[in-house]
Amino acid sequence: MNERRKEVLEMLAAGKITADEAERLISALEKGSSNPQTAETSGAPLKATPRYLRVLVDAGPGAGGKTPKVNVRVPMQLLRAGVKLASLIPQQAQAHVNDALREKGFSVDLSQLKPENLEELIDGLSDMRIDVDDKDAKVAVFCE
Amino acid sequence: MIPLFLTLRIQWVRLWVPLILVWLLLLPLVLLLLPLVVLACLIIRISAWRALITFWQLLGALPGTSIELRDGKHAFAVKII
Repeated sequence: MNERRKEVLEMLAAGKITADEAERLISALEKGSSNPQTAETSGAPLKATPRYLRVLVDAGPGAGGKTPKVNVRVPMQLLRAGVKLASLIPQQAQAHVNDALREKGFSVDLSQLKPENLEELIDGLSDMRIDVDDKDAKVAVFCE
Repeated sequence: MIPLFLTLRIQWVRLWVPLILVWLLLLPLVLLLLPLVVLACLIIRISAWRALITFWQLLGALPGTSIELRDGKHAFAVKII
């Protein structure tokens, strides 16, 4: 067993990290060992911070001979600034926005969206990938 | 860094817009509107300083944004640089 992997398992056994964190660390170690140029020399591998959120929609051929395509790239910085902007919304307006979101089926409380939790949110997004493969269209949402 | 250029493509027309000129033109207007913005912030009880900083961050985060829409006949693309 690789020494670093053993360290991660020991940290998990000691309760210093959660099982989820251990899994992420081990998968990062595996990536690092398969690509030695990217492996960190200091020890703990660094996860690349995503810079953009990308949405690709490819309707494919068929819809009347047209091939509609959508390609949207949103910088993560814009998401960060957006969350900060949301935290500026006055209390009364937040209640209205929450109600409107709930009506649409999104149970999100804007008052709980704090800039302090932003990095955690962005970190979570880096692992996210949504692929929808349909016979008529392909949709992909991912971070890069 | 605030956006400096905008490339716009509508069908076969490609436009390259130097936003820096737009900012320069808007600057006097922004200065005139600033006291009103501060007043509005005071009325709705939010920190004017925080609002301005957030707006600046939002503006600074725009470069890199890209939107492309295409179908068989139409094409539209915007890139903020």
